Amino acid sequence: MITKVNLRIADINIEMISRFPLEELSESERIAQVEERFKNFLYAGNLNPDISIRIEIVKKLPLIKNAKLQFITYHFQDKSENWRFLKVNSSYIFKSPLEDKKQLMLINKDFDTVTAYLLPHKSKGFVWNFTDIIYDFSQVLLINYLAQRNEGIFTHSVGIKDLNGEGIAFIGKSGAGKSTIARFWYNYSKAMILNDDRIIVRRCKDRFFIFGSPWHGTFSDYLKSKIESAPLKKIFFIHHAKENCLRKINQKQAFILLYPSLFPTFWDQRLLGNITTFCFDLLNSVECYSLGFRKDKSVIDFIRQIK
Amino acid sequence: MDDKKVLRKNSNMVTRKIDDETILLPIYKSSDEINCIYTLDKVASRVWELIDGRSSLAKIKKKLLEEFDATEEEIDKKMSIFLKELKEIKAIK
Repeated sequence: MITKVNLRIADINIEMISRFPLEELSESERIAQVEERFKNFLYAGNLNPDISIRIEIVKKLPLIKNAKLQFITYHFQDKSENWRFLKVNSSYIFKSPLEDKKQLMLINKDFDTVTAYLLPHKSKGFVWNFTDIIYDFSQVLLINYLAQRNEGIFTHSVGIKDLNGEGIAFIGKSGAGKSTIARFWYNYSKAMILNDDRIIVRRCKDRFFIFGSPWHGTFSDYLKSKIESAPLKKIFFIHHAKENCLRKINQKQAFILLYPSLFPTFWDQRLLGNITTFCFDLLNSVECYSLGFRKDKSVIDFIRQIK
Repeated sequence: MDDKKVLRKNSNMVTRKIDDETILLPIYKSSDEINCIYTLDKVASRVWELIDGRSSLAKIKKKLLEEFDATEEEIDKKMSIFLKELKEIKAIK
C-alpha cells in the first residue's frame, strides 16, 4: 500500500510518499497537528509535484561517510544541537539528532528529490506522520530550493493582503512589534493576515508576491485561514513610537534592515549570492519605509493613506 | 602597518557594491557564529576593491592618496583600523 500526502506552500507542490502507513491520529492529535497549522496547505489537485519526498522507516539511520559539514544549528536555551546540514559529493544531508525526531534526509543537488529516513514510532511502530518532516526540514529544503532557482526568500515578517488586493509586509527585529501590528490589522482592518511570523516572497514574471506559510509566531488565530498570496507593494521596517511616523528609505538602507530578518543559506556562497541579488531586485521594485507606530489601530488608516 | 605586505581576500564572503559603499555578508558554519552584515564606507570599499592578492599595502595606500583628499597620516590610520577589522571577521588573510 502506498501512502501519500501533498502540500502546496507558496505555489510549490510538495509530495510525500511512502510504502509505510500513515500514523493514525486521535481527534485531538489531528486537530492539534493538522487542523491548526497545515489543513489549508494540504493539496488535492492534479499538478505535478515540484518536490518529491520518499519516506522510509528504518531501524537504524544510514551512516553516510565523507559528508562535509555545511551548517549546524543549536537551541538558544540549552545549546543542544538542533539540526545539521551536510554535503556529500553533489548531494546534501539534513540530520536531526533530537530524541523524539531523529531523522536523516538525503537531498539531491536541485533540492527537489528527497529520501527521508525516519525511525519507527515508539509505540505505533513503522508508521509516519508528515508533520515530523514538514516542520524543520521542509523550511530548510524550501529555503535552498528557492535560493537555487533565484526565485524567493523566507522572511521574519507579517504579511497582509489588504482590501484592495495589495500585499504589504511588516519587518522588524524581535520586540519591534510584529505580533502587535498583526493583531491590530486582524482585529480592525478586515484585511487578510497571511502570517505574523514567516512570509515567503517569490518572484513570478518579474513581479514579487508574498505568500502565507504554515510556520507561525505567537498569534495564530488566522492560520486556519488561507494559502493566499498578494503582489507585494510596500515593505515597512517597524518600531514602536509615540506617534505614527513614516520615512521613505533607499535600497541600501532597506537591505541592511531586511537581511537580519531573512533565513539565508549562510552555508553556501553561491546560494547566498542568489538571495542577495533577489533582495536587491525586490527592494528596487517595491516601496520601502521606516515606520514608527503608535500602539493602537490608528496605524491602519495611517498606512492606507500613503499615496 | 607593514607596507610590503600583500593581502588576499578569503572566499567566505558575499559582497555587493551599492553606490560608493560595499556590503559584506559572511558565510557561516554554525548558528552560534551569525553576526550578519558589515557595511564599508567609501574609503574602506576602495581598500576592499584594491586587495587583490598582488598589490602591496604601500601600493594600495598610494592609490588612496591619489584618489581621496586626505593626508598620508589620515589614510594610514583609516587603513590600519579597517584592516584590523577585516582580519577579525576573517575576510582577509
